[in-house]
Amino acid sequence: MIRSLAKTFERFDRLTGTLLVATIACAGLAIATSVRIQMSQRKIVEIASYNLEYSYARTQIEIMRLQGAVRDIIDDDDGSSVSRAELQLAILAGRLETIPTRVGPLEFSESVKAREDLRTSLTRIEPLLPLLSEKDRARAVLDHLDERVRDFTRLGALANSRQTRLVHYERQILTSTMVWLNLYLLLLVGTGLVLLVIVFRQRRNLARIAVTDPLTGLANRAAIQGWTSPTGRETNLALAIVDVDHFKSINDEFGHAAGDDLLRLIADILKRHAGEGNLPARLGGDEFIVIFLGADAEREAHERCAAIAETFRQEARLLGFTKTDLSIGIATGCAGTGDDLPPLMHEADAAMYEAKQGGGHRSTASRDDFHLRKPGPIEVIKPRSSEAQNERRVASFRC
Amino acid sequence: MILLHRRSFILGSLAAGLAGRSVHATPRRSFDDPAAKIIEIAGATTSPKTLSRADLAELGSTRFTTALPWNDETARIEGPSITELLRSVDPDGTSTRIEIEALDGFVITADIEQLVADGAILVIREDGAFLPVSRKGPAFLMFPFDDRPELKDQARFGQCIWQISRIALS
Repeated sequence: MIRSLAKTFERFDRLTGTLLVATIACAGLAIATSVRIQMSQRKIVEIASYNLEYSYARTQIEIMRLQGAVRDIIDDDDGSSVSRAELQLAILAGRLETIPTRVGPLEFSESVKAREDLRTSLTRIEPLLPLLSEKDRARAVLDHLDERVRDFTRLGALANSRQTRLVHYERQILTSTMVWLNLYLLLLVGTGLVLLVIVFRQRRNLARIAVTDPLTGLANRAAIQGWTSPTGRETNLALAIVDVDHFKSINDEFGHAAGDDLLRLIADILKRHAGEGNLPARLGGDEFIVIFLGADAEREAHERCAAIAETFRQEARLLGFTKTDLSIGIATGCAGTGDDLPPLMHEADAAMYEAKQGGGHRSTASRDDFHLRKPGPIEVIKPRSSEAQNERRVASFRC
Repeated sequence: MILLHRRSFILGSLAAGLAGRSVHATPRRSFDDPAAKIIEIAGATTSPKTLSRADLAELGSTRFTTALPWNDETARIEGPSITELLRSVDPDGTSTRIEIEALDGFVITADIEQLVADGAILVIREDGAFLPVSRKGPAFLMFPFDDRPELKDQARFGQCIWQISRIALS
């Protein structure tokens, strides 16, 4: 269990792992503190529920009532007061086992002693009651009961201060524990927020990595598949497929590292010449794509592709790649999402192969209404069939 | 001081002759007689009457064993339930509240329906013997705490009034 947990944490970076451990620790401490708070609250309620003072005061009153009954015996000759005193003594005896001897978890030893002293006193006084018409005996009993009255007066005062002290102590614990709980909760919220930020950043990174070609840093095929037009509706665009001529032979002659350098060079040139708002991407291998947007996308595609091809030619020569050029095929049409692109890509791909078959270092378009700005390596392939052309024109019109 | 000593001597010498006798083992007093009319009961519509422990025993008997709230000792107790008491003193069932007073003047009030639902009884016997006043007689109110632990709360502990001397329904 612990080992698998440790392995899980190893998968995270150090900061994330530390934050996770801190979160778990804070949560554990918060739970433990919460349990401690509940215990304190229960203790306070329990201690406060002991109505000690009342019980001692009532016992004190009953002793004093017994004293009153004893005094009645002194003044009364018919014997009825003895019976009343016996009843009062029995009432008092009935209270004995209800006299509280604990305050919450603490034994109240003074109360135990006072209760046993009272029990002994009652046991001794009960047989004397019929004899208390003798004043000396009655006064001795009254004096003796005075001591019991004092016992319970003292108990009341002690109970009050002791109970107050206990409640105060538990309240202090409760207050400090609640401060700790607040601290742990704050830490928990803090670490949670930081973890959330990390999770969102990580998610954003993963999303970026998923649509980024690791070799060139350009968008990848997944980005093209997930492409949506900036307006969210179908828009005019021109799509250029860019392919390196004789790339296999470069890899064979100079090695794959050199091939990778060449791909990075193309990516760099595409970034520089694609133009703002247009999307260059690597489809895979030595095949790249550029999506040109806007009403003037077609013209921009041809101009920029010409610049791309020329720049590549020059910079590749500087790096020593003397036998390679770019073949570029261009298609134009309307698209709103990546799902609309495959037919255009297919068209541009075919145009690119036309260019490649023409000897490379060419840019070809699938449309006949395409005008070159300058002569040279760029060439227009012949138009497609009039039927397909009409379809494309209809599609263009609908954009 | 001398007087105090003398009084202590009188108490001590008289008590010595009765050594071994406790409060609970004293000869039966008139108020502990099961036939003594000691509990006054006033129904809402019936005229007040005073009943003895024996009279209460005739109203019916419900028995259970439970730990008592004042000492946690388990006791086998019995006496008429509140339902059985009502059958006698409130046959029309018009009363809703009950006030119970103790010999020392302590008073509780309760909802009759709640007491009936809780299975409260007027305990007049413990281990088969009628309760003397010194053992919280002639009667005390008790709930079947052991059979129904959910009843164990401060409110019901506070209703366990002992040495009952008067019951009034309203």
